[in-house]
Amino acid sequence: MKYLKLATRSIQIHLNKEFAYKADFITKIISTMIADFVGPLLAIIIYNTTIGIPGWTLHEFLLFQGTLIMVLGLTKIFILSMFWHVYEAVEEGQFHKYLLKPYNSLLFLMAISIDWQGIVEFTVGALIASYAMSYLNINFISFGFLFYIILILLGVLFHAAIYTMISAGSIIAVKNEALLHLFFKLTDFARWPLTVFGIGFQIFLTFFFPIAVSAFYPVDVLLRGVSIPWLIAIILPVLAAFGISIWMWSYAIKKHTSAGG
Amino acid sequence: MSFCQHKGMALAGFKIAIRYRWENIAQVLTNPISLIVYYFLWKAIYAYTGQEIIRGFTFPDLVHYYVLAMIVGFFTWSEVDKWIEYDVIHGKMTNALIRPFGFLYWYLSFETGISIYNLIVQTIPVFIIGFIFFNLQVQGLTVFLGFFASTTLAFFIYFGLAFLLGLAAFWMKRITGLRRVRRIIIGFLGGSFIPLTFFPNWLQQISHFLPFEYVRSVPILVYLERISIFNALATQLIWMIIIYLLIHIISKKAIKRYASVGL
Repeated sequence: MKYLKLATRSIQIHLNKEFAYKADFITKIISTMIADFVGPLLAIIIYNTTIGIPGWTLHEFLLFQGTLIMVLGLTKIFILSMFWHVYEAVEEGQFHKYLLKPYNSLLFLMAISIDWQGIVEFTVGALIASYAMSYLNINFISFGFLFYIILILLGVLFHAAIYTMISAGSIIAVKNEALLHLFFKLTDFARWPLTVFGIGFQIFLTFFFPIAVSAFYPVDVLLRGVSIPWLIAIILPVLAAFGISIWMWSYAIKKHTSAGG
Repeated sequence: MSFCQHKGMALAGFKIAIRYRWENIAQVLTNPISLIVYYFLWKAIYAYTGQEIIRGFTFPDLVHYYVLAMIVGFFTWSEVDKWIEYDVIHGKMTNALIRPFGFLYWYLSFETGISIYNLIVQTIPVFIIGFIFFNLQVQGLTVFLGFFASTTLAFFIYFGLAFLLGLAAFWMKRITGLRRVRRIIIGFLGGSFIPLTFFPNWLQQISHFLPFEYVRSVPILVYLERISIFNALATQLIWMIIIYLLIHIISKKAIKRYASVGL
């Protein structure tokens, strides 16, 4: 509850700051929406000029993209800015101030790093997904839909795990922005259905770097169903990544020297 | 502004770019990931569609297009609007304005230094990656020089567009949202994500009357020998003149608004 209060207060402060530059605030909202519509626009262009992506109709693919935008939006709301908070504080030798507060350092940093732009992104994603679902005969009262929601949350958990790992890395190595850039690039694999990649990539993106849980698996499970053993096989790597990220964070906090860089 | 002054500012930009060398090297190493993703995506689409040529592009042509889009993107990249925004917000624009030459040339020389650095550290390595791993064709001297001239003009146009946008900071102070719009529009209408021939005809027609395709698509098409070098360079030159005239007019009004108060 105390973290929720912190998060609410934090978002109020961030919004007050944004309102000081109203024109920029409005253009930020518009630009976020434009950026999120580029993917679906490309999809429409691809489907108008070719037969499309193997195994995916246009509306199925739009659902895929809407789902991905929702996952990225939720990630942006809760964790993306945390990395920059940690990165800047570590670089300036000010990170210790977060460790002196009577809060869990990770939850505290997440609470104060809430990013309102993620709400816009999530809304756009939800709109695109809803539009696509209206053409797809989705049964909302089904295990398929329940698994869809669970896998979306697991997608967010995986992104949270990676950002926590990179943040932990910055506490130890001080400057590791390159890792963030690498992760952004690897996210490109999540932007298209897993089935377009070779089998080696499919195994890697499911079990070793399970970014396919960002959109491919939630939508695949919703549209085509899933067996329970396979569902567990999809979930376990995400939980493992989350466990490792928490361990890395605790390790980094213990090793922190506040020397800056 | 003398050549020595240009050289001095370009050197400053070059040195600052060196400061971020690890980030740049990381970009060179990680950006081919996007190429791998596009490679698999289009391989699957071409196989599924069963056509050898889609909208004038074979599969290898399209892969070369993406390699060249990355090369042109590295060389023409400019964040001058970010510098202007920072200088206006922090009241540091005074430094640029009191110099004995126009602040446009000051920023231009600075960004030229960064672009020369990008040419060495990013563009050339990606060219080599393209030749070795993606069978990018080695072109004759005329085409290569045409490509280099077109990419250089593309850099000036991109810089000009970013500078024009940066001038909005004199009115709005913060232009983060506008900068994002600039990146998306140039990326999309410039043809970075997909060749413009894939666009519907009406959008292609509109695009010809906008400057964005001359920043990305045109240099690529020059390299792939799909358009006349002369026509490409002439149109780019015209766009460059139009944009710099606009800068000249708007910057006069912008400077009048500046009060050096900062945050």
